Amino acid sequence: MDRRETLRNLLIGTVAAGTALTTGTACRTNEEGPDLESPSDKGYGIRTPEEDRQDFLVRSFTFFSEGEMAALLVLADAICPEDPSGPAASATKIDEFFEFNLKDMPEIQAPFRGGLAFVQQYSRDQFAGKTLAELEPAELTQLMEALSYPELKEEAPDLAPAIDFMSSMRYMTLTGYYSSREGIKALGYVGNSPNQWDGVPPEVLAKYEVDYEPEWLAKCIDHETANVAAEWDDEGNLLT
Amino acid sequence: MQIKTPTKEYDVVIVGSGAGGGMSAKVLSEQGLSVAIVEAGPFFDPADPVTKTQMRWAHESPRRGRGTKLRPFGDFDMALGGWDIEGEPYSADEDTDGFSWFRSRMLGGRTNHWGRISLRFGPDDFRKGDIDGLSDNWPIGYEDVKPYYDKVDKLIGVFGTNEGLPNDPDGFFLPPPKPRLHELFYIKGARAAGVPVYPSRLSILTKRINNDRGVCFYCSQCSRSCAVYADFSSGSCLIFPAQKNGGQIDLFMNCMARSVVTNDEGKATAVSYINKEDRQEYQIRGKVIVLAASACSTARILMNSKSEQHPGGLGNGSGVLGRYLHDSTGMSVAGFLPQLLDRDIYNEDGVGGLHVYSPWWGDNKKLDFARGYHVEVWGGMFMPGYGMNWPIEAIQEKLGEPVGGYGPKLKDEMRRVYGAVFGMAGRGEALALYDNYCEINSNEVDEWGIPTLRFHYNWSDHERKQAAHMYDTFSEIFHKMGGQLFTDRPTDKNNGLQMPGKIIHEVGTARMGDDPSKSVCNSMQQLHECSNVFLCDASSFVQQGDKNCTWTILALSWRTSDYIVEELKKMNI
Repeated sequence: MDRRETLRNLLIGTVAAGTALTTGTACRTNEEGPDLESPSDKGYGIRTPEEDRQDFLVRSFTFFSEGEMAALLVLADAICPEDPSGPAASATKIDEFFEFNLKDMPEIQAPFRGGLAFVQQYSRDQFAGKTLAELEPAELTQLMEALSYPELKEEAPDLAPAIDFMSSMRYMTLTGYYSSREGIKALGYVGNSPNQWDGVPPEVLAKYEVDYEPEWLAKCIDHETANVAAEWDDEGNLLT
Repeated sequence: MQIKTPTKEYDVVIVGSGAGGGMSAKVLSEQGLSVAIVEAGPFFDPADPVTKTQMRWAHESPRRGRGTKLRPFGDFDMALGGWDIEGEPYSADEDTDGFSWFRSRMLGGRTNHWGRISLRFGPDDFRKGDIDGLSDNWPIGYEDVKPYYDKVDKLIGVFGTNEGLPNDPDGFFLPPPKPRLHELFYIKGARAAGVPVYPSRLSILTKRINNDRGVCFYCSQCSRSCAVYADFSSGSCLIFPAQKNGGQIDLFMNCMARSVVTNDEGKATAVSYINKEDRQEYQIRGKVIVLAASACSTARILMNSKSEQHPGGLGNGSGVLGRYLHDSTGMSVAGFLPQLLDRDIYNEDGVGGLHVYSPWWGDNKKLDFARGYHVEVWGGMFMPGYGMNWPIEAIQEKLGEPVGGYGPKLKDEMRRVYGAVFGMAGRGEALALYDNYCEINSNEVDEWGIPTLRFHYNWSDHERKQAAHMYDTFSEIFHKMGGQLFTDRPTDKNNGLQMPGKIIHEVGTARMGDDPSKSVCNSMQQLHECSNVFLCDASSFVQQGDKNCTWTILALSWRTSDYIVEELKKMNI
């Protein structure tokens, strides 16, 4: 197929040349075509029955209470606030991310939830009974300063559970934020789209004072010829 | 749906639809033979827009692409299965180095997600017995396989370059893509450390090879299997084209092969399998049986094929069935390149894998370990997904910044370090040793009632010293690149080697040889003890090279399939 056809197929999809399978066999073939009602059509590609079962289980109950989620969002926004690069974490569906992934990883549920409760208690102790959601901005900053650096555990060993939780919270927030639509944009990633890779831009090469060696470059694909079918001589020299 | 018992006798029944099974099905069906493929997983066509994962964004998955036990390489990886499949256990002897066994249950098997690094063996790889005597020679040489490597290059397509290297032979290559920025730094750093670098060799179409397959559009997602068939996957490049060309291939999907059925004369007559839909046992008859289920699955099927004529399992008169199991060695490091902090951002996805690599350059006669390795590199501006933030604290530490943090400063740091991480991995040759093996665990069956495998595998000093050499080399290259390494020198007894099996290059369980007392099959991959059973996967390997195994599986499968056609014509089988 040519490039135009390739791109069209990417957009609208195509089903393989080889689908006309006929078997008088005991097994299911693809003759019936994909089952569009199946949970496989959930928007992220083929899932096995075991994966469908896991997703169903995870979605069948709620893990975090409203109070817990409110506290998580306060911390998530403190870790990833709105700035010129992008919105605050709470505007990137990070609540759905926390809810799904904590349920999907039972091994971290207890320490994560317990760590959050410990931080809530710390907040009440330090700030006249206020929970995380009730803190003034200056108070929240004070809390973040006290809990966001693992090396502070040496000075304040009693705060280790809070600081460890904040490390997990920071990991989950950064991962959830920068894998969201908005976060990917904030980071600047510009791939995942059809293109013809033709090397490092010249201005970038110049900036780093590196260049392609002519001998190496001569071996590389010239995209002008990419759609001409390959032919070789008997020695393996490409002719087209 | 109604499940019918197969009644037809096929010319050939093939177990497995990966590289070896797909190639065999293509060659045999195009010669007019009727072929049945028995595959333990479902149908899969990467072009199907409903099931494809290619081009999906991280946020389309609720896990943002995170790996799970059910999909170890992430939610978008196109391997249905993994290291631990529910209901299909295996075990390893205590006090060994263990074994991890990756299985992908789907049409095309592991070819849907593999790294596409397509390295043919060189002449020395077939005669290590002569070179160092630590393992046996193959009964064939490079000259026997070369014509098939050439044909595989042209049929499937592989980019690379002819460099005239003695043990990394030239081939019929498509032009490679230009190196990425971190790869240019690697070229400089590796050369300064005395390590040569060449364009990589990957079975990805940078250029058109026929009208059935598209050309790479540089999304870097070959591990998701390409919707326009621009990478090598067994379904899209072998099985579908063969069907389109009129080849008669019937697919028995979700059918778990159990054993080969033999008659009173000891000849194979059928494959016994469990249909996963109704959990019943069926048999499918064939004049010829090809096992291409992967090295360990093929050994398991043969061992479970006991009969009066074959009391130790089919083809196991020598007692070496299951033995000489070996995987490639794997050891890797990661770090970051300070010069890439605050880098300019552009689309450098490129092909799904490295654009440059270093084939083995050393002389083992001057080193304290027997076999070599090649170097793979990675880095740059990936699509962000789950876990993309892992290096931030390591980089903060290396830069002397406070580790941790929050707020606008942390967001700035995240942008600053994006694309600055770089890593190297060694993939090396391990010795094929009699004492490393898999065997049937008669105390355990899987959910289909089939006895399971137990592994017994230990690395030797040769692999351990090779791993130490990898670390020394990688840290020197990192230093020459101006980079800072996160990975400390491993202190475990295996010097950072990954567990056997983890590189997913397991081979050697039913090795070929001229002497039936020391091998399972002959040089045409035909069982010594059962002339109508052939092995078309890496079970037949005598000794893996410092390469990957897929290109050799494909070449040998084609060679064996040609032989099957000839032998059938001569009425020899």
